[in-house]
Amino acid sequence: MTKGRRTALAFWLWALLTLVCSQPAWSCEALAMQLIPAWGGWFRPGRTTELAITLKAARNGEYLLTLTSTGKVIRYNGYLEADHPRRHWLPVQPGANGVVHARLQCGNEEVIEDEHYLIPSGNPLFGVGMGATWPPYPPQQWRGVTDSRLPHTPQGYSSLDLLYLNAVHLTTLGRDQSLALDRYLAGCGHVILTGKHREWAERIEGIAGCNGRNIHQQYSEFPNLESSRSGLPGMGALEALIQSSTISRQVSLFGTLFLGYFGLLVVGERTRYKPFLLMAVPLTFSLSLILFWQIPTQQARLVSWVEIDTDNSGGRFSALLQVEKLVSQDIPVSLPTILGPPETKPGADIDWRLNQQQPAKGLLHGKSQAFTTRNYGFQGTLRLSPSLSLVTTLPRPVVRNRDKEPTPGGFLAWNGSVHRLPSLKPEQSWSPSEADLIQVENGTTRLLMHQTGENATALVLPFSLRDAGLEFSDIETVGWLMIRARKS
Amino acid sequence: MMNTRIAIYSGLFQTLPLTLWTVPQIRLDSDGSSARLMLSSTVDIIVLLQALTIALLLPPVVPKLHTRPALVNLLLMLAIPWPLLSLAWISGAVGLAELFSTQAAVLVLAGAVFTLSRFISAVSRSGFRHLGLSLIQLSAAGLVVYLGLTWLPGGGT
Repeated sequence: MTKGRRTALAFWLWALLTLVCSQPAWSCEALAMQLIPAWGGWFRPGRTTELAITLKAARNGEYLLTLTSTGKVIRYNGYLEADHPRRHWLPVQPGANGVVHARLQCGNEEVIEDEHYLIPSGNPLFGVGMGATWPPYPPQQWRGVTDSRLPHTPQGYSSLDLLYLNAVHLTTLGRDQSLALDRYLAGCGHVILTGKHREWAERIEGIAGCNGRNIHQQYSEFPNLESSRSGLPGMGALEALIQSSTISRQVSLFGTLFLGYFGLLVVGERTRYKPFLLMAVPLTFSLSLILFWQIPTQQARLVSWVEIDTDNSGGRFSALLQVEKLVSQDIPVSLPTILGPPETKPGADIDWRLNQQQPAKGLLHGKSQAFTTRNYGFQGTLRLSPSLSLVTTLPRPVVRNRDKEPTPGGFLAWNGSVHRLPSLKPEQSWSPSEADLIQVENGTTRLLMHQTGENATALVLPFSLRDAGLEFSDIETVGWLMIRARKS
Repeated sequence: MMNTRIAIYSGLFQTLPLTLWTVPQIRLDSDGSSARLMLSSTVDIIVLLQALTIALLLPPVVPKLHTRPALVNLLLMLAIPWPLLSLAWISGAVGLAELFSTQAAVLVLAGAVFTLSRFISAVSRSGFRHLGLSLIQLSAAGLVVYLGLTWLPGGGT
């Protein structure tokens, strides 16, 4: 082979190699990512906020977007079409330092990485949005932030303590923004509403939780606000409502199994089997244990506590998901996306995966060791219309079933004591008497008394989040609905 | 005599009290650390008990034993705690390599004690034989305690 041919061959080999090696990069060519945090990047530590993410590619392809903050990972699988930018609004819970790391992958290749620094605020945040002008007397202890667009997810409001809105501009809201705002209002979110728009004013009155107490019509003096997030039971209180689990009982069964094994050895020795045959007993028992451990054994239970004012349609809930594992495998739990990524104590890992193909479901992954119990907390709002009404007339409150179906029995807290509330037939009314008084407390009645407070009246009924239309698979759901009384 | 009965009851004496103590105390917690810690300690104690049983029980009975049945019974004695060791492995308390290496070390110790005891009993007269076998017992037990304190992951506790 001549020198010229060798050079030409080397050139073609180099060209082929370059083509092969650069092929995966071509499929991700011209991929772009832009991240815009809600509320100018301000957030309250420990709470969630929202990131608007715009993705663009020159070719069609699947992608994986990963958002990582301290111990929490949110992954989004989707499909991009060429020259059709896609925008997502994803909830994130930044760590105390506010850093959120974004990584966009195309195929198996890492393409774009970006880091965003959000700003933690120790002071309460008030948001000025949608055409509202800056309040004339902003308070000293508050941090004001503006955002020309309102959040698209309910979690986008989580960092706000007060929202300053111009009702006229609410007509321009998209569907997701409207739903997110509905949930903020239903969850007793504080709003100062300026501008006059009859349709929206009526709508807000219908949606607002806490009987509209937190909707302030005009700005005159900055209202003395109690936090809209306070008041719901925490994870510790909800854990007290969970009964002992099947998995805990399985663990206690191990002792019995081992006793059986020892008994078998003694019987084997008595029957004078040969040592070779007796060797099969410990070997078989060991292998059985190892095989049993290959079965993905997990139990997930969700306990919820929903609070609503009587004659209101917006309820707030807090929920606890308890996942118990005997094995160390990663077994994902499927949850409605509307619950959002769970909240946990600092340091606990969260891996929340969303998929464009199944937008209603999110998968909660957890890499944990064997014999673990993981608790995940959720807070949010619900739209529901309870069948019972509770009115504190004198001398005794009246509970009435307005539905066409009988209601389950529950408890009523009134005058500092708890009464057993019987099952009520349609249109039946009931008032507490001495005969219904209960002496023995349990977790539910204790929580009812705690949540009701002094000189107030409330009732509680069994109510799972499934009853509110949320779908769960492979999760046991239990819970309670607390209805606060309206004063007559 | 290292017959099947002694092998089984020696194994049970090593394993039964530990199982009765460990298994009921296994609880689920946020990271599974309490169960793993307990099972890891249990593994250490089992290995120490296996080695001490060999060091103290084997030398006096070796002169009366036939080699093959003695080794099979020895293996049976060592196998009785294996389910508890398996539980420790599958729960992540100890690694498989660590488990194999400790069991192999116990087997090596058993082989060494057996061979040495057989050699002493073959070459020495009856008066010196007891002294030699006692020396093997003491030195093997001392070696086990020393290695247990230095080599085992939990420091033999």
